[in-house]
Amino acid sequence: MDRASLRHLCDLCALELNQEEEESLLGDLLRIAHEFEVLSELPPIQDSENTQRVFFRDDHPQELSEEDRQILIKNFPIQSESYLLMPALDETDASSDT
Amino acid sequence: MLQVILESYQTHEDQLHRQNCKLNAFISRTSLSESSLYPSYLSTTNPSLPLYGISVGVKDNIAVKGFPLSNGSRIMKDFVCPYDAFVIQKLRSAGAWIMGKTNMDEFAMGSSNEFSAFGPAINPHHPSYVPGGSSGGSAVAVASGMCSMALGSDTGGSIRQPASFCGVVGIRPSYGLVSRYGLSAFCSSLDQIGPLAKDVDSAFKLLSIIAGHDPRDNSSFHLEYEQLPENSNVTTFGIIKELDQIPMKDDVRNAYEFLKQQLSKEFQLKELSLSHFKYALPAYHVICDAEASSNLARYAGTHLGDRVNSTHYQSMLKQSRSLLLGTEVKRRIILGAYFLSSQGGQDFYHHAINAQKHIRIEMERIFEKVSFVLSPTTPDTAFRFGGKKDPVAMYYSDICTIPSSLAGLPSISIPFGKSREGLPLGMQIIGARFSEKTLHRLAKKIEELSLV
Repeated sequence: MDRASLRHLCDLCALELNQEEEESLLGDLLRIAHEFEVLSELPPIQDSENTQRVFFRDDHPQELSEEDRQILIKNFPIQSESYLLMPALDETDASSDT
Repeated sequence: MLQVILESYQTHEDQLHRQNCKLNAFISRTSLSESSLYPSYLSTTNPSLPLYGISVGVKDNIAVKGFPLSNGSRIMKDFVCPYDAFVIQKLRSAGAWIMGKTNMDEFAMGSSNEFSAFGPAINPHHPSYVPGGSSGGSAVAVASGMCSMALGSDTGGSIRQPASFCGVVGIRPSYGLVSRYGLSAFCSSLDQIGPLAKDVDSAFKLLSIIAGHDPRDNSSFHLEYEQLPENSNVTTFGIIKELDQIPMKDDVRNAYEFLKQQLSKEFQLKELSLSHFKYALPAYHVICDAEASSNLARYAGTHLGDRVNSTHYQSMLKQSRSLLLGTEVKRRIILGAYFLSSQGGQDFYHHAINAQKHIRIEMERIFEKVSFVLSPTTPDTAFRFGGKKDPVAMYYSDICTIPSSLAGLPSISIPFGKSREGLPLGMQIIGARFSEKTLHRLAKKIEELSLV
């Protein structure tokens, strides 16, 4: 994780960090990513269609097929709320937000 | 009778006026909770109701009509709630008096109350120590006698850990027993509302009132408290080997061994393994942060929360969120976005959900062999303010409470003695899903043993 990648994540979350917060988070991300790698050791439990398709927060929503959008909305209602809406709002300015 | 109720209320009010400036347990009271209204509330409320005259503090992430719903955050500090949460409707129907809103870590993200935008609540047993979190204000309010009972919310331990640090009883109910309608969402798949009180009976009395089906919460079960099953033949307590082996403060270890020894006179203690224990903490944090990053997208200065004025929508959004959300909240939102992104080179979120399923299945197998599991609530007593600057060290406070959260199981923290510094210790019992009635009986047993 480098500074540019972190700033891209911040943009996705509509957040800006000061330098101190940025430094601290870069360190945390490296450490946590390493410590949490342990989760990938476990064999997958296949019990639902949720595991059929993987979506990422930084996928571009405009590139999703309609079928994938529907899977996302059906299976990940909480994630899809910001996933589908937030990037679309990026291009809207205050004058059109009435 | 009425005189006794009035005197009891006056004691709470006096405590609040004397202590709240030091302990910072309540962060908002409105004209609706003014003491001058209490006598008219008594005269217009049915005295046969179960919570008639009882003062209840409410964590500030639970909606109470006419009260602020700040969530311990600057971004919501001016928001006055237009409706009552399901649990508040239940409290009002039971005749309770809402005393005010209690302090909390911002958006329930924290284990010390140090992340409240209103300054932390203070541990009533020692002013240099944290009260725990995130429901620290509720625990302090009950422990210091500012109210009879309180509501908190528990995602990974946010009721049980402050209950343990402040020496009160705290219950995390089974997932689905208490509706979250009106609870500000942090991690929707784990959040639960639960009671805090000075003793076991009072905590379960409050739980029995707030439990019940609500069609407005999709996770709510078609089950009333009275319908819960009761097991009169509990013979065995489980001890999870991996939990037993974690590093603990000496005082916690000694109290825990003493309790095991006392229980072994009446129950069989059976050692069991939760082989997926090491995955619990990382899985919990990935799931929580991922859900938080989505749930908190709504605090954008538009339809919810305060805003910083700007000419463009995008800069208003960014500045409002960046300036009005606290550092820990921003940190978790970005971590959550990272866990949901492809940047980490692996699919953290699905791995975490998979680990949660492994833990849930293994916990279900444990409860086929034993009725209840015993552990300390926390491996440590309350720590000093500023004592845990490393976020991962802070997360470790919840190591004993997270497994039951991930598995959706009910658990309770019961005060069990004090450390050499005079700080309270807490013991935890975890039960099978919807075993609250039996949990009540066993918690009473431990409460009695704590007096030995």
